[in-house]
Amino acid sequence: MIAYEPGRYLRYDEMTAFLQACAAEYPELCTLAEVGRSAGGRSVWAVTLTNAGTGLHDRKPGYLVDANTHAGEVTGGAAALYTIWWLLTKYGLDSAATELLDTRAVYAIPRIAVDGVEMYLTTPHLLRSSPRRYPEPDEPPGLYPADANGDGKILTMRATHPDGDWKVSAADPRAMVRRRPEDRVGPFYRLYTEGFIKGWDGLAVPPPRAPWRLDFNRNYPAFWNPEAKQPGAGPYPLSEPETRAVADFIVRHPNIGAYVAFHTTGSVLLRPPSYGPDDKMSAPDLEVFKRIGELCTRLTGSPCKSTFQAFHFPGQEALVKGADDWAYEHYGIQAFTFELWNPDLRSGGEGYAQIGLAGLLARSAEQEDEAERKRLAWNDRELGGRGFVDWAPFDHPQLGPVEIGGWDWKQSLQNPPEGPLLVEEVRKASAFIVAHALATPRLAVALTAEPLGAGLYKLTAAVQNVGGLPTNVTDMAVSMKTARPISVKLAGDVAVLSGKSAQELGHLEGWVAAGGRPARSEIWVDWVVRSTHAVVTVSTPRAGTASAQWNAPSER
Amino acid sequence: MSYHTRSGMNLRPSPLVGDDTLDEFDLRMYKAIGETCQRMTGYPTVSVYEYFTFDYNPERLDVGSWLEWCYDQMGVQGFEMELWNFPYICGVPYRPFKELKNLPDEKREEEALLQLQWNDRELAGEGFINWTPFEHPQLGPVEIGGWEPKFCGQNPPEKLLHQEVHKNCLFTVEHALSLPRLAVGEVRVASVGADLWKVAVQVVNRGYLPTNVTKVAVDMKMTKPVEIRLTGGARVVGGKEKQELGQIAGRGGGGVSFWGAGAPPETEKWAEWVVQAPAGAAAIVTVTHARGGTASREIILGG
Repeated sequence: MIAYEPGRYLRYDEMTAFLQACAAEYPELCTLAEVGRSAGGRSVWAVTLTNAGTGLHDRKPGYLVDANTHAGEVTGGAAALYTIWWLLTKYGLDSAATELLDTRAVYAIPRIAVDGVEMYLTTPHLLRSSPRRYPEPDEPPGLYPADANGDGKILTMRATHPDGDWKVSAADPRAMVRRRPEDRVGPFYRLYTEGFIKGWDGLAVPPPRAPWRLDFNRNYPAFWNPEAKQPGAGPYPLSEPETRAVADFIVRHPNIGAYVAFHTTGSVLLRPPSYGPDDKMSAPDLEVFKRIGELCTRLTGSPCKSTFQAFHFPGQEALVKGADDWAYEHYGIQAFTFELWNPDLRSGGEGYAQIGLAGLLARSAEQEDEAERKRLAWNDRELGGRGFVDWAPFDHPQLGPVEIGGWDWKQSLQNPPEGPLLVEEVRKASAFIVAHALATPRLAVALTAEPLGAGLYKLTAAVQNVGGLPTNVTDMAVSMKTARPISVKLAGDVAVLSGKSAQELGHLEGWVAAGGRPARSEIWVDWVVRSTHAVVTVSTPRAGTASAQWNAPSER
Repeated sequence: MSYHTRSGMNLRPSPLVGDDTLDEFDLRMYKAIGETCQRMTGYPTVSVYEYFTFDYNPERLDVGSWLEWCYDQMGVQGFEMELWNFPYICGVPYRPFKELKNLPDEKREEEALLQLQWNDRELAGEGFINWTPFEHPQLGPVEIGGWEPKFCGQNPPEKLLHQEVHKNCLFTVEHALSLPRLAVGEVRVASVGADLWKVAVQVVNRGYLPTNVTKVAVDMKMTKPVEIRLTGGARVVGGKEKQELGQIAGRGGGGVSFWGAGAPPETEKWAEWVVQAPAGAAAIVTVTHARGGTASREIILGG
């Protein structure tokens, strides 16, 4: 038995030990490989899950799940590890786990930002992806995050100020609300990230500055833009060893047809397009993305929205940049971002999945106040108050008297706290991964013969896609020439009199078909042959390889 | 603020394009002041383009309005308050203008009745003159009547005028108080040698809006930087006598950082000089900006 606690966020060494134990305990089902090495020298691990007894992984339809391209979104990493554990331990017991590993290859890269996650889990710091200094290699003057009062957390400092832009909520003294233009009776506050000023001239408080602003999910080639246009971009696409490892992995596994990248927060499954409204993308692809989105909503309760619907707000450039955008736009993979965990929903409020980021930004000060009070009430009710630290006085060596407190962000608003809430979240996420992976296309073939006399036979191969997605997975894959047509080869002791022994068949739809009509998921090929023994093999990378054979009845 | 009637709506830019095309900061400031308007008058603040256009036709734009000139060319944060909304008072909901033309006839009649009933109840029927026969010299027999045209639909009846102008006056006062206002904040004087003083002066914007008021004002070069001068009985030996400090944010210019902690507005800037003068001499600092006003302070060196 593998030691594993689903309700914990594993440190890097614990994760490595867990993955190695999985590969050792289930050698027929699980292999572990280093696919890259981080800037800090840690291995980026990829796990291949499939039953080797039913075929090699690269001859089966492939599915990729990854997590923690963003260091602080550790729920995703926990969900990826849970999925690995569940599939291995339920194989042979649960029909879905068994079918999945017998017929598909599931690939998991459970932690991309290996250095960043370790910093997130073992220090008070918050960071986006990597702890390498970026974009400034040095430390320009600024207010840098630091655990000023030594309580092991980096929270928020509040200081009274006549021109402060915040005030204390009249309804809950913990909550800070925006000062309205007409508010003239204080006290008013300024809020600062807990920390110290570096390079201070003793005059104006410089702006807040984090030393690690690289964002792996702005480092992919689709629609890449440099730092000035797209903060966190990195110097050029795939400049980071971690993002390059993911991209290389996808390119080296042309059988990967569907992909989910785990993130937090939002409780929403994000689909294309990122760059505009739905009419900007292929209608059949949109239909299939939406159908898989409905599957996710049924299993997890999370709605499916386009990245554009979720994140676009007036005046903002479209957020097109991530691994999922690259996988779809350049390779035609059915790629989603799954944003786990939504404290606003749990507290009875709304998140960007419900009203869009535009809707969140359009809220009045009163509506923001109400949302914050709901979150605080939820924190008291469900987290026993652990998510919010009450404001306590602190004598700051540079700013003078301040108070330190506020949301303890990591295991409240950004991720569920360790324990039952985390287990609930990763279970739901993993259920969708299994269902989505089982919807990938899969070829099957049957071979029948009709005797024509004189040792001649008419052979008919019935080629079928028994999976949910089309064998090309997306229209985009056809446009991008990454979906090779289904090939059919007839071999054995065969002399072909009519028909071609090697042919290409185009693509077949799956049961997630467009428009509600019966799917065109089957096609027949026939030959006239003189034969005693024939083998037909059908293959396309994203739907796997299948074969069938026929032997002539022995002559009397 | 330019007062008009009627609609019970406070109009903001743009008359020409959707909010997607507006500058993000300017839109945020318009919305913040718009929320104040809603709280004080009950009237929503809406984009002319998004809410007040009947039938958008890019070939025939409603050009030449005051609002475009004011914002798009001068970079002034202008509003057109359309005072008084008679149908709303009678219980007819707000609707973007482009929805009006698709309103079914039954709905129109229902809403017309609401207005007649309100007139009977609240104005003792004075807003509507009943149809009465008239022998028209050209048209023959007609009836003349209908809504009193001036003081019901277009302007409030006098008995409701006071409340209408009072709440709008209060909002205009708040809008005016949101303007940038420069002040001299903290002053630090340190002796750095015989008759030599290092002087540091904090310049503060005490308003809600930045000294430039809008981003458009910067783009259109309608605003100059904040200027500070040191004059009086001291010789400036380090730093320029006249310094430019750029624009200074107002307290509405703060943001929220990624983690939810604040990115406080930078409402303060500092200017520094080294001056030569005997102890007890006075220097005067004066800070000026066309939209942020003028402030000055006398500084006694070594005092």
